[in-house]
Amino acid sequence: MIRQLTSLSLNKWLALAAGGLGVLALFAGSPFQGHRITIDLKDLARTIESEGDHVEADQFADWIMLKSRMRVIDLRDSLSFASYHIPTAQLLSMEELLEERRPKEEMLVLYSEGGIHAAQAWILLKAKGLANVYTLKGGLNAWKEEILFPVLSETASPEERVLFAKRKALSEYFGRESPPVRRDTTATPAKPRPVPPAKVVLEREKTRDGC
Amino acid sequence: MNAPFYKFGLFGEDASLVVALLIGIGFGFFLERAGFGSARKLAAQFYFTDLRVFKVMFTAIVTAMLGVFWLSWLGLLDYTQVAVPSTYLVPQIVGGLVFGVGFVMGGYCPGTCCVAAATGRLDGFVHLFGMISGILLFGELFSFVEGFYRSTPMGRATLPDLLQLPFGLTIFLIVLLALAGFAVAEWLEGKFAPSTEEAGS
Repeated sequence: MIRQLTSLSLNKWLALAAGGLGVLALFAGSPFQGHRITIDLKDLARTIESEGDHVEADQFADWIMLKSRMRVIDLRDSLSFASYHIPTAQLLSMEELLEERRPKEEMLVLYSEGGIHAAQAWILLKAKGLANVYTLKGGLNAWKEEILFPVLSETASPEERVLFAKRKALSEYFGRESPPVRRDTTATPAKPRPVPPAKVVLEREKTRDGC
Repeated sequence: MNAPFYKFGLFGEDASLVVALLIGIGFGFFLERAGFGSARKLAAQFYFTDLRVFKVMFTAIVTAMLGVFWLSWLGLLDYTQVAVPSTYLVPQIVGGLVFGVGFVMGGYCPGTCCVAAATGRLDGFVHLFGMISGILLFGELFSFVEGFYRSTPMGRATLPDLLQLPFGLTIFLIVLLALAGFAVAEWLEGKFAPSTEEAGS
């Protein structure tokens, strides 16, 4: 009899423990330690299709000049960053970028050498629920080609000449260098002169204050 | 070190077989101790006279569920690394029906027929023979049934995902269901159970 009572009370005690742990689970939050995420795949696909995932180099240059409220993230290695980086950029590894705590509305522009790394980081940050993340289309390569060292062929259309004039101004702003004009696109293209890193760094210091 | 230990490399493949053997022996031991070596006791649940199968299985489910949840919450277990078999809805419903018919007819499920055979019961051996024959037959005919076997795939389907509920709420609801189930089981047993002599045989 006593034995039965003991076993009965143990059963009830265990049931009570299970019930208690079940009730606590209601308030415990997610058990997944940040590894579990929900992605709205259709929303991501729509953003990519409508080209809302990236920014062109020209527009990005405007944003920097207008001192827009954004953070520019350089995802390359520290050596490449030291030799040159886009003004206002901050060096972060992919892991640091993911672990960093930030408000979800913060605007981020990511770039890497060609853009693949930045695009991968874009998907990861989107998966973490960040709303305003963009990559620089074409990465640093596009920035150098279009903003720092633009070229103009002699057969350029009036629109291309207008664009070149704008880029020339941008190039002067960002590189303090006048871009060379390509006289002949097929024969001997004028070699663009590289921007001395020191000058760019100085420029970076200047523009960084505004952001 | 975090669990699952095998996934995080605490032991290799050879050692994992030894661990599996020990877990298997433990599993069989507790099934036998719960009385699952007897087809009579197992079949009794279908007549509501002895619902120990329901109670033991639901207890195991709730214990494992609370263990996985709270160990993950404490950071001792990485839930994303725990293997969850993929769901193939229609083939698994058909499989469940075959399983159920076999259980009602023979009085054993795959695990308990091994327990029955290990304890020397002849019907356990017959059931085990049937199970192994079925496995071999299925293996030989696999190319014919593979299309059906892989139909209606749902991937790693879990209740919180399917029901779009927070994990904690799902845990709470299942614990509630289990406790209510136990109470109903006890009530049914009280109503349908025969004399103690018959139940104890």
